[in-house]
Amino acid sequence: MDIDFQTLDPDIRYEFEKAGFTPVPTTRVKHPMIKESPASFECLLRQRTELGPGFQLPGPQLCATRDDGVVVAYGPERLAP
Amino acid sequence: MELKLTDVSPVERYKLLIGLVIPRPIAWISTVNESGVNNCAPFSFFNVLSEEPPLCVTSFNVRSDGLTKHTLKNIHRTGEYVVNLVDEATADAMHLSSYEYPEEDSEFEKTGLTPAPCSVVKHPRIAEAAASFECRVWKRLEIGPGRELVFGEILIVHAREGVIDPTSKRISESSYQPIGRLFAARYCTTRQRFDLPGGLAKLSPEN
Repeated sequence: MDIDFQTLDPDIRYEFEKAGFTPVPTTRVKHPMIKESPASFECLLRQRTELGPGFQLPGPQLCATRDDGVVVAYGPERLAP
Repeated sequence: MELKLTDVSPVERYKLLIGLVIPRPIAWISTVNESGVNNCAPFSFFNVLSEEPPLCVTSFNVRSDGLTKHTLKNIHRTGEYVVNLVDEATADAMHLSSYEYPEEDSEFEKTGLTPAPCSVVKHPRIAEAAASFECRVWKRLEIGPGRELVFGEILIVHAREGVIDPTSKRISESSYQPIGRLFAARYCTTRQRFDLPGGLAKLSPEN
């Protein structure tokens, strides 16, 4: 099943259109996954920790799983200016 | 297919996650215990996270007998450790050091590795390693039964001659050939490299 492009956030829609990939709905989170990707994780933000100026780290729960079975992954993300 | 992870046992989750998230870098951690025995062991739930402060993170589980790993005990006791990076030249020694030896046995002796002194931390680094980080514990987080994350602040970087250009600080692709962890006893090289866009199609299949 494909997602209705018009319901997507314009920035996300632009990224998918530019790259030529197909957004498909997920089960637990509100964000689309990439149909062409070999595997996808639906993730919930569990915790954010400030490391230093300009960077935040969401969650120490690397590859941990919540009670509802959602995989929680993390990676550095740049703060919006 | 879709898998809800509450329906999957922790052992199967482990298999899924380490099989899908590949290749992973390897932290080959060297420490010395309170009796002076030099220890080293590889961990592949590992990565660098930040340059300011300069941090890396390693995830530890318990030994197969349920006890704390020797490496983690040494980190808890001293608040310091050394992360050595693994290349093709040290791959076999790294894999040999992953076996669970008794605490009084040194993986350095078992695998023929040479302990070299560090500048800041009291633990040895592996002289044969392509690069080593002297680390001080920045934060520890217990994330579940038998799982602990250790964040390390990287204080000193050591590298074999030729790996880092002293002026530009660029890493030499020809001098540094790290391997990656896949799953079980399976690893990969980093020999096939390409620039995007378009570079992948130009790789010859024989490479």
